[in-house]
Amino acid sequence: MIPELHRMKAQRIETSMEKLSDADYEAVIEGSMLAGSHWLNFACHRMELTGHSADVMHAEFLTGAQRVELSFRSAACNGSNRGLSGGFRSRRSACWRTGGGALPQTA
Amino acid sequence: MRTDAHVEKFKRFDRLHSRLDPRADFELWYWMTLNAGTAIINAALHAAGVTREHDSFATQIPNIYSVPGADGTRHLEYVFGVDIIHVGMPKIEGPLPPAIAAMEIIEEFRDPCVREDRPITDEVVRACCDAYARCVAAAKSCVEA
Repeated sequence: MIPELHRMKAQRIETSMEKLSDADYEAVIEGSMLAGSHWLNFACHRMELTGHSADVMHAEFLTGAQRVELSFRSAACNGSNRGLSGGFRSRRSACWRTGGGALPQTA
Repeated sequence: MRTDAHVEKFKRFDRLHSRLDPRADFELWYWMTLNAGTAIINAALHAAGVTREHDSFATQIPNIYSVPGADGTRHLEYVFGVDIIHVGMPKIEGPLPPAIAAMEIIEEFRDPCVREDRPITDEVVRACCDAYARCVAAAKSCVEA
């Protein structure tokens, strides 16, 4: 699916989650998983780690190689040449929501 | 999980399902439909003796469950014939309650409408609502029998 549709889905789910309370903890977890997976796919497509027709269903299904590459591309998005530095989620709004920088091509 | 725990989860998901707007909140509304239906089906399968109660909960991987250890920690283990994650995951042997046929209709919309870009139409919402009502009625009749 194209990145913008992932963004729209994620934002719709986030809006729906505003109707939840702490007592709805299962739905908070499910909504976070669903919205988070759409943001993950948005990022993977924008960073050209995965194609539009190759969505990741769950982050835990990423291979070790994909995780390493994602780490490096995320770091590159923030102007660093070092991967595996963590902070994946915190970089989302700073980089992917605003368009990010130049991205390396997939090998 | 235990039958009572499935029923309690069903009630919580079902209450939330009725609070959400099927069109404006489709993804979360649908997921509550899916979770509520799967919870009451697990209860029905246990009640019908098709699957058994177990002190474990399902992971994302069929047949692998989180099981409590003697020291209070949990570990992953192969377990067979207990809770399903979705209808058909894992495949189960034996007679199935009619609720599963209704649940299969709901499952058809999962990836296309939640993970992909199939439009959310009145027909989609109606099909989910009708199947959910049938699923819950059939499953409850097994649990309460």
